[in-house]
Amino acid sequence: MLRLAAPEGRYELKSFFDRLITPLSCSLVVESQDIRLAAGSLAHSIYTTPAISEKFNCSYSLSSRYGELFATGGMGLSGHSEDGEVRIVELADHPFFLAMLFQPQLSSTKEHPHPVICRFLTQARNQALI
Amino acid sequence: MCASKVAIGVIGDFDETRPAHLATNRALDHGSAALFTEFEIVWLPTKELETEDGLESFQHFSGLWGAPGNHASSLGMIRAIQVARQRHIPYLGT
Repeated sequence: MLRLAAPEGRYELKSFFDRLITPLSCSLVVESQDIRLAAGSLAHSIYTTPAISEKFNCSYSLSSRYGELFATGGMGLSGHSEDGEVRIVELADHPFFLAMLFQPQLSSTKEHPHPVICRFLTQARNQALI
Repeated sequence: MCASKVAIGVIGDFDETRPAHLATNRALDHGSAALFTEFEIVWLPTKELETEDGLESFQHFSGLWGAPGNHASSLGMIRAIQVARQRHIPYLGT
């Protein structure tokens, strides 16, 4: 696991994350964007397709300076935009740790519950049985 | 069907004027119905997660969901995600 020394104080922490997180060159507020999924990833196993389109409501992204560092530290970069920006990250050494810049809840419906949310809830239900 | 409710903690300061927060609750209902499972949904204000005492409640949760938006405490949000990672609690970040 990559260990970046995150400071304890609230203001120092904000400065720390301001370096990791950068404003998107093009804000994705209430827009859909295509995302390529990495083969063999948790994200790919959920969607079962190599490319997806999801609704964003976000203006920030992981700084490209840190993407490779995160990957070498054990964080899988499992979803990218067409221009190569990181959109989904996950941890392999964890029962279920999946984070994304888009909001799957925005496209969930009663008739079509979102597969990411269903997988998360299934994993939580399994966890409750342990 | 589970005999008791499965507890999900939603890390974030719920704001009923934010469509994404309302969508989070609705999506949890959709998933609950699809899985034939009752989930207990508890929103967790981020300021309360800055301390060890605030994070103690996490033993109760079988899953943690990081809600979208700007929250009152980035520190609380980060600490909560750290606990999810270290204690191997299923985590979904949106």
